[in-house]
Amino acid sequence: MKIMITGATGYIGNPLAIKLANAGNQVHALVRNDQVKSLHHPNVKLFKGDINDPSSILAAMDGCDEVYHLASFARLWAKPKDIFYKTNVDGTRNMLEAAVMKKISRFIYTSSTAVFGHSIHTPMIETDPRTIGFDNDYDLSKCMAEKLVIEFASRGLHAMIVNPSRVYGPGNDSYSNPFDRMLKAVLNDRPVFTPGCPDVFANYSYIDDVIEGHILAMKNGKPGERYILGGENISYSQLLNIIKENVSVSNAIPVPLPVMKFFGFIQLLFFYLTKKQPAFTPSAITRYFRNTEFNCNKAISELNYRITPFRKGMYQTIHHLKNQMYANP
Amino acid sequence: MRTLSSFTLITGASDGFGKALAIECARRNMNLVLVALPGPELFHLASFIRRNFFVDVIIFEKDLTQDLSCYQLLDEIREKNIAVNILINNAGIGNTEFFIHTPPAFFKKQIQLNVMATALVTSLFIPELKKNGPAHILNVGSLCSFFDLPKKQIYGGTKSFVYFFSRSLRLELQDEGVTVSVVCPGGMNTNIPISVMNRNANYISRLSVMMPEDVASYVIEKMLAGKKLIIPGRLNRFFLLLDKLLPEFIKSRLIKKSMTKLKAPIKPINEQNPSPLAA
Repeated sequence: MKIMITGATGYIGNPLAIKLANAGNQVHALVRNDQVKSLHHPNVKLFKGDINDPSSILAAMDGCDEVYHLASFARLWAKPKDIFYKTNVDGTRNMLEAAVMKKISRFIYTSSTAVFGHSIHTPMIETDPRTIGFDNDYDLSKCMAEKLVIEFASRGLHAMIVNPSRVYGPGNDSYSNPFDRMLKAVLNDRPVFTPGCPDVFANYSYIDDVIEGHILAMKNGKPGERYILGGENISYSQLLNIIKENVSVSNAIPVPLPVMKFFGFIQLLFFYLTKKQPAFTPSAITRYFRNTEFNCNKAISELNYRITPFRKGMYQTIHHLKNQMYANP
Repeated sequence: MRTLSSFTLITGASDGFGKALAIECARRNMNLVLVALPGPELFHLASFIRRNFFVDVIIFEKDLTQDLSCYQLLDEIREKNIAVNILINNAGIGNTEFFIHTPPAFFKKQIQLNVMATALVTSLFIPELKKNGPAHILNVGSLCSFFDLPKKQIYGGTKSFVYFFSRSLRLELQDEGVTVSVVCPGGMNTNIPISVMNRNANYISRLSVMMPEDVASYVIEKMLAGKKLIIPGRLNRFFLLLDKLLPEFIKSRLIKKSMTKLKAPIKPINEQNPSPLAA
């Protein structure tokens, strides 16, 4: 089968593209840089282009049956902020319109659990409303893109949405993969800063589950529906304990929210002086201090989605990173 | 029988500020009667609140621009023996548009909901509130009603009605065990179109924009304390003070400058820049 994928160089998109190619599919990857090494595979064909360039989308989509649209501007802050809307909203509209023209049979849009805001006392499900206002451009642009997907689905496109939670696991070094960076710091005995709220719960999904979840959603998903692709809900203190089962963590420094916010503020000031992009901003950091628990029962029962236990996933991740360190000391 | 516990009725509860008020009241263990237009959002919100809090949530799908629906709402609440002791008139239609571009059918509906439904629902529920007192009425006005604002002519007018109505009614009901409050919020990042519009506003307006959940928590606290006029946000209160101090000609200049930057709620982007694929 011919399958088009965007975001194929990303943390989720790259292993997904390779997995689809290994299964014998012809994968058409729309990439901005066609010299990219991570997509070297006899079954992967690279199409140079951009989701903001409709003609390049049409060229890559030609002859395809299925589309995985993962490309996204996945940051919490950028200046100018238009890039969120150009990439996540206009880009998704271009993809959907092309899918209608090319009579694509199934379309998956990769959103995020960020669209839900934060949870209160129980894990959130797909139909839950967003609990907070729109405090950042990423969440807003992803919600706008979801609305578009649902609109196109109501007009007959077999389009579905998947919402991965906080994804962890072996993968490329990207902004969407802060876990690897944190674990590398632990393995190198460098200090790590953790949110100073040990009892706050979040949902962590293992990278392999999320990749398989995309493929399962493509196979079993219903049009216009969204599916949370998550994992276990655990607190920061549980998280730290599970990491400590595998490696010794000597320098974990819990930082309270006001201090984090202050650092975010300083980084913003520095941006205006030096144009160095902040790692986080005061409004973006708040989300790590709120519960974000999710329930994946819909994906489990309707898609046959499976969750890797967090303890096992974390063991594999640390093992992988250790091997990588010995290979390239 | 539900007569033992009392309920807070919120109109326009399914999205935006109404949703934030509903979640805030649930946080404070207040049982809820949620009223909103027919649609799945109201059911989803109610099920979310029931799963997260130990409160009763009863929903009514009503279009309050129809007078009949307001009467039906009261009937059905009486029939079910629901004791309402707090009424929050939140349902309203906002817009940002020059008057000459506003179709009469739109502003008729806006006036019908923001003015008529507020007055009618209040009038119908006063006997209930007196019976279940001590009671509160919270009317949702707007900071707009204090300023001269192009593109907000009718909206600001309806909110000025809400403001005057609330303050005067407060005097009439103060010895009857019903406390009337009015909240005049500034900009909030509530739903998608409003949040997009807020991001296109000028720097000062953007600074004053608040998150609906923060406003809701402040407002419910002040309402329960029986405050007459509730202005959420330090910057918004500062604007009001400035308005009293500045001479007229400076104010009109400032407002004119800021309003030209305010764009109308988003239109689908392909209307603005037709996509080459749209053909």
